Amino acid sequence: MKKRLTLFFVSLFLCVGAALAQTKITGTVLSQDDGQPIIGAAVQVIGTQTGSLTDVNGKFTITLPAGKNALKVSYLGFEPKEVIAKNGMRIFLKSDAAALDEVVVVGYGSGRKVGTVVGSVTTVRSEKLSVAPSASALDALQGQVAGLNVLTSSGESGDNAVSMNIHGIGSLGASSTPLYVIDGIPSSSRTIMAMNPNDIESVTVLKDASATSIYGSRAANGVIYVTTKSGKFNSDAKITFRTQYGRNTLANKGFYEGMMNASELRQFWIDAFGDWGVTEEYLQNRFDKNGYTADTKWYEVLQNWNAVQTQNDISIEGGGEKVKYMIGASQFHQDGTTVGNYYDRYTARANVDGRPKDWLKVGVNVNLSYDKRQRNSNWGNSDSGNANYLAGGLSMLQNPLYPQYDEDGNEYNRYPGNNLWNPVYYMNTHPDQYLRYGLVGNAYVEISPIKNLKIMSRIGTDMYFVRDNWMTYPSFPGANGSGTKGKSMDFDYSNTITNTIEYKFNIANEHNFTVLGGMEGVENNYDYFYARSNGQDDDRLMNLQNGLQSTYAMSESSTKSKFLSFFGRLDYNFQEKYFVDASIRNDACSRFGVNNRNATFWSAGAMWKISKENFLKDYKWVNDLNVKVSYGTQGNASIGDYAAIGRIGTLSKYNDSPTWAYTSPGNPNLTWEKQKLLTIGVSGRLFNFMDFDVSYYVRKTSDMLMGVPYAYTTGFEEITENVGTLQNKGIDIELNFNILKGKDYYLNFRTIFNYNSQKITELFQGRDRWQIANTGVAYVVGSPVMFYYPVYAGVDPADGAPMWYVPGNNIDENHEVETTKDFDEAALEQNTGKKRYPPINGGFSITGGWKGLSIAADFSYVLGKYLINNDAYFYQNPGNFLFYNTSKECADFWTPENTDAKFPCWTNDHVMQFDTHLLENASFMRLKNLQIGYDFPKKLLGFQNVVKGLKITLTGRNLWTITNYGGIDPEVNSNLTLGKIGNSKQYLIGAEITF
Amino acid sequence: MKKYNKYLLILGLGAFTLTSCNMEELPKTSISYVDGKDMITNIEDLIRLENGLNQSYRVTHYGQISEADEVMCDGFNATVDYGNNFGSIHRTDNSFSSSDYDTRDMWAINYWAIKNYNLFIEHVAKFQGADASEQAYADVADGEAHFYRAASYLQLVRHFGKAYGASSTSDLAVPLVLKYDQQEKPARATVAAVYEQIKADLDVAATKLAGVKGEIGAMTPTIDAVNALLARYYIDIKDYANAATVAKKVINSAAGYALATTLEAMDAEYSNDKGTEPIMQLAGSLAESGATEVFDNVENDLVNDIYTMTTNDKTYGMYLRPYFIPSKKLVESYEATDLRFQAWFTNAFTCVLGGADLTGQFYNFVKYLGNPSLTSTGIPNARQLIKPFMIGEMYLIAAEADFRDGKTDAAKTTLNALQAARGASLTEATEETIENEWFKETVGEGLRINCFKRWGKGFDGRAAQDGAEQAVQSSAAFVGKSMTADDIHWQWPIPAYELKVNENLVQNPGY
Repeated sequence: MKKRLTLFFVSLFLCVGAALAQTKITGTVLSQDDGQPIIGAAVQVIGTQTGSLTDVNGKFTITLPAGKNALKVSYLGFEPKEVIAKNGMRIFLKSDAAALDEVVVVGYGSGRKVGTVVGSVTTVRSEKLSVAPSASALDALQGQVAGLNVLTSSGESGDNAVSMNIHGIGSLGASSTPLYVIDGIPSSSRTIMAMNPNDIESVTVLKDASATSIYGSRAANGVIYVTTKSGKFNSDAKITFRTQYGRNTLANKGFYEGMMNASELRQFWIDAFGDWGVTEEYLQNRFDKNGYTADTKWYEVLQNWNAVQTQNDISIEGGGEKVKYMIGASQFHQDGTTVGNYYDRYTARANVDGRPKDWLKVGVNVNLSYDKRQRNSNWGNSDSGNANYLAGGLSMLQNPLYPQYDEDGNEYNRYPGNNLWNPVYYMNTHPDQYLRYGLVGNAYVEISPIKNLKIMSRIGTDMYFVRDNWMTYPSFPGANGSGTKGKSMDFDYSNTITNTIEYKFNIANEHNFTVLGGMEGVENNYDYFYARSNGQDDDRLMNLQNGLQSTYAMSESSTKSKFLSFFGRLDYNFQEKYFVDASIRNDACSRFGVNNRNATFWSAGAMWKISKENFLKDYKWVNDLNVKVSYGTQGNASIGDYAAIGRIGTLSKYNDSPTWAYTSPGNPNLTWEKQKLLTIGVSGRLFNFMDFDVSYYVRKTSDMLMGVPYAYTTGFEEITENVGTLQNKGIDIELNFNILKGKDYYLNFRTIFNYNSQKITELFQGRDRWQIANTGVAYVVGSPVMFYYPVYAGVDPADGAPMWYVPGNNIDENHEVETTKDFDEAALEQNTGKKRYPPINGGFSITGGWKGLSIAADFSYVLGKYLINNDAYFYQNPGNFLFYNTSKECADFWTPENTDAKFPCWTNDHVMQFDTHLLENASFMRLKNLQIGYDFPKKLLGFQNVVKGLKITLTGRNLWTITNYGGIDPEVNSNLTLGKIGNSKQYLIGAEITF
Repeated sequence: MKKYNKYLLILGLGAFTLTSCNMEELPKTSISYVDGKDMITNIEDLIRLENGLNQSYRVTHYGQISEADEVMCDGFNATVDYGNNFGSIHRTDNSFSSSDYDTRDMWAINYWAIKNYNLFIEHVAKFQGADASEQAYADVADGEAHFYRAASYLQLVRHFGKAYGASSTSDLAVPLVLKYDQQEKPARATVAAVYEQIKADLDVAATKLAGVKGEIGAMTPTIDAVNALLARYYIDIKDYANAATVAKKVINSAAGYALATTLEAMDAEYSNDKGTEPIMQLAGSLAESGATEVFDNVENDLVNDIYTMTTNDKTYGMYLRPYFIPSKKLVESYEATDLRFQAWFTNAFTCVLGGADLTGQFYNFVKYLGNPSLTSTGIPNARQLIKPFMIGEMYLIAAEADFRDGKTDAAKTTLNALQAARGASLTEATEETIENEWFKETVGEGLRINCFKRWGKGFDGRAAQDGAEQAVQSSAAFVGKSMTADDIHWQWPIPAYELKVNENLVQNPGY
């Protein structure tokens, strides 16, 4: 090292020596973007006061003092450049924006130029995120990155419903969620939801070993790296104000319209259940006599079909010579599709970077957020589990005969007949509001004591408070004058310190090296408590202490985990043609057993830029061509904080005395889940028309962290262990076509595609198969995660009884030969041939523009997706749920005259069962995002000098869905859906004004 | 180099600080324990773990543990609003399979409790008390653990095995797990072996609890409770002489258990949990319901609420919206003068079903309406203190045992004592009158299945009360349900989950 440095200084000295005499030179400064001359650029001889400005042709003349020949050229909005003076030289300046665009995140250390990174990374720019109508920027990533599978499992406002995985499910037990990093600080998808999507400059998806292994223990599922906007040095302040207003509604109303109306339902009951004594007379006695003769559309009553959504934000970006800044604030409001549900968010951000000295850079980057939300817990969201409530998730079953209004036309507070509370009244008397204050940010200092050596230290935090106040007012009749008040408080943080040292050097201008070393410490803390009391007797006195002391209840829980890591990386390239990189990382984690805390992960990768080879010089149509290969290991530690530790815990007190029991057996041998990842790829650009990126990957997971099942007779049903192996293989394709490009028009088409093939290669306890009880899902060695379920064989035309296929001797083979009419879930379960995880995910976008008009349409699709529609068990099962509403399709039932019916004879005690008739094909394609914009021409704005730009946008989300799925929403990312709110759709009109 | 030596030093210091940071993190809401070490190191540990046994025992009562028994038999009809709660076991049709949750819970909750009992028995044996009183305390606690384990195995064998009889040495019951072992995959023991183990545990309990005198409503096991459990054991294995003897021992205990003989006393007993009938009555308070989730999705709320589901609104005020109402057979088994009928059944409480006010048209079962002091809202919530053993059952065991033993006179005396106390007409002691008295006296306690199995009987039909046509599920699968004595469903299915993880288990026939 020392020897090399000396060499470096020697070569500098030689350069200086060459220009000892005073000389006058001329040159031209041009914009690299368009080749146009830059007028008024400052040219300065470094180390002197000597300077000059360029003329209208970009030309300058300058006299170099003796011994000086280094020039610094700078101009507002462009990156300053230092060059060695030479007569007649042409100096190209890069605009700041372009400079930013061309940097790619690689995880720790400084960014890399596009096209020089060995790792597989895909970046989604702010344009895709900025006007998306969703609270979370992550929602807009659906269909944008090959291999990044994004599903939004509910349409509830304020639900962090986006689930993501990269290249399939990497573990059957531990989380498959990628590592989220915001400006270098490990974070979470919930924190990204607490950010204004407009604050985000880019989201980079790191996919292969070269890109991810440097993140070691948490990188097995890939990395989503969020970079927020920063201002630009030497740029004029730019103020942007955006506003959007629109409607939020359920994407699939047709589902509810497929339920019977009152007259259809009455007729159906008589037709289908006459044998049970359901006659017109019976119905009159049961319903008409009590005044139940309405035709209420309960879905209109229980849901909001025209909820309001607004979003506004303002940002100011700019910078001077030493400081650049981005200050922003935003507001987001969305009323949900269920009564009482809303989400409100306010954010403020300050990103300030300074370069006070040539050798010193500092910066602070802070996002404050305040959001509040209220759910309607009668419906399920993405993580609430099932919601089989007639007031919500199963409200399609509500009998339309029951009235909404009394005889005077007033709406009931509680509807007679179904005893359902008026949802508005109910939510008003049961407020349950979550407030979340969040802070995510970091501060860094970077020192360059010698050129190209960067020592950086960064501390950051992702912390938040969540406070929930929930109440039942004593005035609520169901409370019998006795209210309830509960309050919970949650304080969580994840603190990170990262120290890195990076040195870039080259040898003989051909061998380019970057060496990085570093360490990182992370501490995660979760701290929660709640208190509750009952017996408040006045709506205005709803404090905890207003309840009865005898009802006081409270609970506390807290957990903590720590990670400590050391890492290093070496990047090398020869003539920017042959690239090699290697990384290594050692992690220790408190979650594992004492002897198994440390693990080392590594990667190696190579890239060959073939297009730079001489033998391709003649092929002008090959603009760029690269071949990449990388291999490496990563880990996964996404389990509970104390899974390794055996624990004696407390049970409910007995006679007011503490009770203990052995509540968790622990596993002292617990350690990391490990992954080996190989990626081979080809990318490039051809005919100056098509960009392509194709890669093939093999992920092999071993020592999976799984809850291994044990018999109830042992007293513990599950212990977390390192077991089994899993493999995901697949291919990613990204294609981009510049179909049209002209002076004032363009048309681009982009498509991404991922095929992933999952295979379980080993399970636990030597098993070849494990069926997870009551889920319909089975792990089978040699196969992907499959649905194992009784296979429905339709209705026997002879007698109207439902039938099922009898499994063969080997239930791993789908066997549809003999049938039975006796239903026994356990005995009839067999391989349905349907995969739990869809193998194909993709999307395509069309973007075009003509003059000020622009249009962008983003479609995403998932193929081979299956979902157990548990809702249908209720809305297509009138024999079990007589006198509830039912799907119109149920009228097609077996009778001696209608032997070719969809459903069995409803009397004779035939009911629908949990079998493959519920396992529906939930493949879908969605118009995820449609945006039409119009940029007002500059000349229309020319009469004034405040507004620089004005753009009007129309935005829609989930406007169009194609699917064969019969339930509410095919997008739910689960094996089974019951009572969940379907995805929403939005129509927004907006304006973007720049000053 | 000097310039950046300084920074490197800072960096190095930073790294050093973190390297030396302690990676050990221990939970705060529990105590870490390494398998194999002594769990009980002092008397305080012992007391808290012992109290954990009390809670474990409490979780094995009421809720689905007793409700499933009742609704499988002939005493109750599902209502139009029952929402498929206990649907499979009530219809006992093809949907009643090894995937059934209610039968699984009986299995899982008991084995969860047995794990706690086993660990305690294992570790208390190694405990050295600091003095004689600590040692004596540990002995009693050991006796309690054995008593509890016997109670759990009795519940299990009664549901998953065939009734005790000639083939019990080969009939399969449940696995006998007597020591905690995470890797063990036990096979099912025979009915005889399980009963032998129950007796062995009760023998230990009888010795160690000999000095713990009975008292009305004892919150922890007493010698009377041991005898009450022994009485159940003896009547099951058809050792009638011993059954009668131990049952009478409890009846005549110095503790003074007494049947309620007036409506006020019935009210004190069954509404306020302040009566004289319980041999044990477990702890509970407004703040301490004892409800516990023992496994993922396996939870017992310890309330028998399916008969009432009391709620409240402006239109009706407080009203019942039960999932199950008593059958015609149950209601008509009582005479109008019977205190039990007067106290436990009512047609006066507002009852709304299927959206219609059906008050007065039929009787509801309100034995577990709820203790007014165990609700904070004023709305009865079906919470009552748990009564594992009531003195009435001892009269029935004594009468049945004497009758089967040919001592009809003695049987009549005991039976009449019960009938007289309850305001029922006195009858001869016959198979029919004794069995009817079981039905009337213990309804709701979750003993009905065992009675049918022990008697070798079934039931024929489950007609709804007159006037309840609009309230109940009226199809034949519900009201027409019959079960013969040899119906295979009397032996509950081994849970499907258990069969999957433990290949040494075999399923009961017919599932």
